[in-house]
Amino acid sequence: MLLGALAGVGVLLFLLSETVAPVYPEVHAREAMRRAQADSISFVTLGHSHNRAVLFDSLRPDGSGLEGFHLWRSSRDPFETRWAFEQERPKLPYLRAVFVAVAPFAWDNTQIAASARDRRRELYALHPGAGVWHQDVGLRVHARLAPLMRGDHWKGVVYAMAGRPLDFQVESNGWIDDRPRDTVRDAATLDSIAVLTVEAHADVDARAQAADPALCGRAASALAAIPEIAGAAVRVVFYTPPYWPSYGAGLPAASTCDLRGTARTLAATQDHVVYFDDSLHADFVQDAGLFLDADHLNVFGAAQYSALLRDRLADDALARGSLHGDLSAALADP
Amino acid sequence: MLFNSLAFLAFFPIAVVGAFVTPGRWRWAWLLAMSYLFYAAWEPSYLLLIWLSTGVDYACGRSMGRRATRQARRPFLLVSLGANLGLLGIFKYAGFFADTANALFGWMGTDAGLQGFDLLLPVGISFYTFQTLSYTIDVYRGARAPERHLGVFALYVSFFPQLVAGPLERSERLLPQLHAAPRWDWPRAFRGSLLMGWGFFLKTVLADRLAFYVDAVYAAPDLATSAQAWGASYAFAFQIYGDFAGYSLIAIGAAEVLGVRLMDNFRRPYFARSIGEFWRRWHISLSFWFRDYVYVPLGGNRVAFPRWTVNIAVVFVVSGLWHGAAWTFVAWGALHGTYLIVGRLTQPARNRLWGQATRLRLFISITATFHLAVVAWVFFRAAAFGDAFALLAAMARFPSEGLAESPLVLGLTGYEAALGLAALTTVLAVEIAEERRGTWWWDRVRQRPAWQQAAVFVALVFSVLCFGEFGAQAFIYFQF
Repeated sequence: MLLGALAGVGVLLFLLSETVAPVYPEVHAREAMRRAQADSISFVTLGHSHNRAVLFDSLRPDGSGLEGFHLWRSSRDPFETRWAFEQERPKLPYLRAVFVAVAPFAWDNTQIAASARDRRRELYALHPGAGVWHQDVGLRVHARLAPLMRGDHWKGVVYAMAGRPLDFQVESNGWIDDRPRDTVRDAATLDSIAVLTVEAHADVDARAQAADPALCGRAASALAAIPEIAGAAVRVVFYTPPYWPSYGAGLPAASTCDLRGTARTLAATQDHVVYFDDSLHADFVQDAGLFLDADHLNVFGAAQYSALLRDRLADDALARGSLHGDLSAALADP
Repeated sequence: MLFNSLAFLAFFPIAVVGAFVTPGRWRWAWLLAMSYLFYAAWEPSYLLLIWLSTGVDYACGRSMGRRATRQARRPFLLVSLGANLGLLGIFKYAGFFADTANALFGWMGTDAGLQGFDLLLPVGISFYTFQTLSYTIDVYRGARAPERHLGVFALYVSFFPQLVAGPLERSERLLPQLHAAPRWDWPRAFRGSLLMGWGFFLKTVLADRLAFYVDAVYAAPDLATSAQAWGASYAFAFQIYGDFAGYSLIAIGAAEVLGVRLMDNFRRPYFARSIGEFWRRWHISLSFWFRDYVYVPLGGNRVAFPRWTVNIAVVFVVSGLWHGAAWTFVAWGALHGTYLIVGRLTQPARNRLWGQATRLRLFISITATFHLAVVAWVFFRAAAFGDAFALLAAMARFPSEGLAESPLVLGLTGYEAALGLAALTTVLAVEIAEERRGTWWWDRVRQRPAWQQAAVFVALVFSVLCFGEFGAQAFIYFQF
């Protein structure tokens, strides 16, 4: 009787959860949008929140006919980025370029906070047919049980049943956000945020290293896999966006994994890969008005940076006369 | 392996099934293998320390058993004490003593240049060394015969439910149970499951949620408002209670499912009317250990008052040091010792003031004892004296600063705070009912009809699943 009651109540709660307020609603909503736009998506962003630096509206001139879609997710680690792209690449038949933000440090979400592990659980929930990855049985099981053991502790269900369903923001181009994008701070505030951010990221880097001394090598391999998964016909744009100078100079000194070096090597050895290291770009480091915080551009900085990327890519592709000439033509101003 | 991990969820049913299908005479071997597997999940090499402790104490116990007088047994007791306290000294206290000596010499203007060992503290070392020490001391005193069966003795040292954080069991209670081969018993298993469920509730729903708030305030105690400092101090009092009492209940429940009865380790400590009573309700197995093996041999309370104060000071300073190799833990222990001494000094005056035990006196006593414990916990939780004093200073600003800023703005969302408050209210309501009726709630539930028992169990399981934090936060007491 006891086992029957446990199973019965479990099934009921599972169904209630998935009916009233499904778990990870934002990634499921984004996946639905991606499916609907699959035939027109030409650009995607991959990876973590440093991709806030890319705005498709500024990257793509009007009338180009190219569509961009954001597949980045905050806190996503290099391994999740690679795995997610493996799952998503076959569903992007008209892909022409991918933009991948490269951070100056590496981490593995299985080794840090529980909230970060939710990133992996939501990936598993999004790709239920995919197998277990990286011996991740625990998180795989958690993902299956996610409607019951919800990361929000049933807040979504409670609020929905009370007639106040939770809001989640997914734009039609896949941008998921929970923070205002137009925040502007002064230089002193950014400096103090940078100190804390460098400390936190260096700590994550050190802990990840301690937990797995092979982390840097694994992260570099994950990054190197992106061009392979993309295919030779797709331009892979690795970039490190501008950081507020006390972060851009402070973190590389404190971190141990040099993913930027990996990106540089990939760009030097593969024809369809480029890398732009703009972590201390002169046009940005003097202007506090372009930053959301120490390591993210706000919407004004992102617009300026995306325009910079657009010009560079156009020049780059034209100069090299590569198979990406069609891309540069499309990117050029009409 | 953590109790609140997926690995334990797979491990425990296998351990239970194996324990009851293995022939009785080999049951100890199965449980021993599972216990070593449980411990090796943290760091296999530290099994060597358990084996060392087991081997030394088994040999010392047997050797003492062959000798008639205490004098003849004493060298073996000293070997046992040396081995176990030596392990503790090397792995837990070497760095602490080196740092202290360096600071002392630095203060005197010289450089001692001492270095501790750069070793990871083996999980549960304070628990299993104290448990096995109690065995050798009992054999030395002639209070029990030495254990002959090496396998069962090894299991006594390493029995997985209580290996890493107690309860600290006595050999006369545990060894006979480990020799026995009990049959599977549904009512007993159900009671054990209820205990485990309540333990998981205390840990994952209450303690791990409060931890977010406590950690946020203690990360920057200088910035804490008065309300936040008080909020974090109250929250930590319930966090550590939920954490450690939760662990103990899971341990006791798991052992009970396996047919082994462990001693109670917590009995609603925040309902104590004095600090003395608090220690009879908090971490009972450790309190009794210190009573029987330190306090009583020092003379206990059958000595003059000045000597008694020394005894109390020794017991509580050592108890503080047992909890952690830092002066903040020593201060925490010393503060509790001071509470006891001051309590005894002021008892006649308080009796004259309050007269008979009234409800008001009861309420005031419980409230005052709770707050004394809360203040002492500040030293226990703070990373350094500076942090502790910063937080105490913030708490002291209370009347002037008031509640201008909500204490619930850090670390938790409003929804999470509401869940934490609901969990705390549930725990307090249950404990008030237990306190009034004098029985554990799980024993009352077992007297209800079967469907009601099932409903309670199902509600408990799903409360944990739906509202528990599953970030696999380690139990606080593992570090001791």
